[in-house]
Amino acid sequence: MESLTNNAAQVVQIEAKARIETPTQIAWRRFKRHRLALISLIVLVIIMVMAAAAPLFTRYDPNEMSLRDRALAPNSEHWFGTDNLGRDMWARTVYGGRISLQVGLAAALISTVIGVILGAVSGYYGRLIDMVIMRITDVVMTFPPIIIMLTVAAIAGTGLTNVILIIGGLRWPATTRLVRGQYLSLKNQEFVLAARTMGLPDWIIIMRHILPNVMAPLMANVTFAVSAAILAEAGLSFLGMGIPLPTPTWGNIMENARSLAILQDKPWMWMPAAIATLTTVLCINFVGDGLRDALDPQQIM
Amino acid sequence: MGGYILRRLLINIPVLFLVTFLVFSLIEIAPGDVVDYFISPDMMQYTTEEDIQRLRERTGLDQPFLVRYGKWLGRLAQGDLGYSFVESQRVDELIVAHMKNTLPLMGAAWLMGVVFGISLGVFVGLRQYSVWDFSLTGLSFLGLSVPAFISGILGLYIFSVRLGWFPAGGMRTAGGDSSLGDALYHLVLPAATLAVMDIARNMRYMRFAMLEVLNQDYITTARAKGLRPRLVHYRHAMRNALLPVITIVGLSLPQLVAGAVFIETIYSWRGMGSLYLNAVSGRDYPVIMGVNLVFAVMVLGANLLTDIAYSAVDPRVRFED
Repeated sequence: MESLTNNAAQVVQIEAKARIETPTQIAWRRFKRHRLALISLIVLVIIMVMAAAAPLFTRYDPNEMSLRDRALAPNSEHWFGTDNLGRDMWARTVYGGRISLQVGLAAALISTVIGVILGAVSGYYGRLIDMVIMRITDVVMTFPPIIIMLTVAAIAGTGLTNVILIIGGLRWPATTRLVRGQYLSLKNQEFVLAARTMGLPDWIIIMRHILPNVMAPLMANVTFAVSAAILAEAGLSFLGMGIPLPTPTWGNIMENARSLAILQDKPWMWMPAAIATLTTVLCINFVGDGLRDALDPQQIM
Repeated sequence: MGGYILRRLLINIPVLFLVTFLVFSLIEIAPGDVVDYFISPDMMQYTTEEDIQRLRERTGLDQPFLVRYGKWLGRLAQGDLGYSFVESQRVDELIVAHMKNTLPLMGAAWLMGVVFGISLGVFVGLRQYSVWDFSLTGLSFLGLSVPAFISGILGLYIFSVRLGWFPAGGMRTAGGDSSLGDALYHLVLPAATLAVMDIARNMRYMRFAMLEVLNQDYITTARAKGLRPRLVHYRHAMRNALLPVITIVGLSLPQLVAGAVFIETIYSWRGMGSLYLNAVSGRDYPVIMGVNLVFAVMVLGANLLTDIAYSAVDPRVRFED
């Protein structure tokens, strides 16, 4: 940006261009400049399409065991080899992505909804309710998240729905703090005062007037929530407290690596899942970074 | 200052109450109890209702929820955390025994995070937009995205299985001598893989803080005075840039605790993480409560120490008594 402002003609040109662009177009143009974020977005779309259309990319059933084909190294039949029960690792990795991404998106949605509601109420109303919500947030943030997740998972039981609820139900404090801060600074702005003078009910001001202004920082936060949720699921499943076998997820595929024999001699049984998790999380974080820069011109880092 | 510390300590007490009450309620709403764990399904036919009742009475599980919580608190006030249901050992002894193994692991990882993170951050902060800056900052982004269980597995695979530089887990050589050197040799790899995220995060914050400080007027003044660059960089810039990083370093404890659970599982390390994992899967309530209490005290203590350290090094921060 600094280099552009040196040239007056260029500035005029850019302003003229900006006038006919919608905010979404501006954000997209800025996002595209972030090369790494754009590449990450493309990779991410490919991964998501492969996970969603998993049956198109493999002819094997991820849960079909074949005693004849146990522990095969990667070959032309089984691209990523097979595990100790003769299940095709490529199929398990692709289908595993389905569950992992599903958990990531669903849990992030839950934590964002909780975070936005609590943050909005806390920031808009302030006083006692703010104090209560913020103290609860402090308590939840005191814990290493995995410790409560393990406790709840052991107690409530494992399984897809439970894992989504546990991760979503424990990830909201960060979103709450962010949204609260935004509402605190926005609630005294003139457009809010105007809306209030017009006698609009609180929930309309909270939802229709302030919320759209919070969307920009919230978007980046949502992407980071997705990657955090994917990692949380992988971590829980890795410890055997997440999504139980035989359903494949990247986390419980990596659980194979807890056996030293597999870790040493059969890297195809865990490495694809590790690489898939890393790639996905890295891409989501890059996209989040790009989004943050594209939506918030003041952000320097 | 003393008044401030006292007040902060007092504020933490209700938080601790809330934490223990939350965990206790969580355990309460769980279906099934430890009695199911004691009696395997194939033993069920030999077990009478009376036996189960006796077991419940012995473990105190026959009493109502609030009574049990009150009793737990009462015993806690006398420094008694109760007995483990599964290990038939006192909970405090179990915790002390496992803490002895976890503290070196977390301490070493924390120290690596501080030393390497900060020095790398200063290094690239002084060389903005150089090749070093791009490659190391890029690597730090990777480091921030790698969770402990992946860095742990990959570290074990690369440095132990492939390269053979380090032992594949365990805390000391089996049957061998129990020298300090041997323990350190076993500690390096787990601690380093646990430290990856800390190093990356500390480095990013340190770099950012350095860049911000280097733009300040007093740095320009120092340069204009003709001070040697070394003096400007390390005396004027780095010391001030360290201030915001202290907070980050102090607040990294919850994440170290979480990472330790995975690292201990991967490197077969008998620490707090594996103790907790066993307690959770065995529904060993006294141990679950004890470990949660210890973790909460540690985290709150670290927060308090961070604030005190911050006020000690930054003369602009003063606490009203």
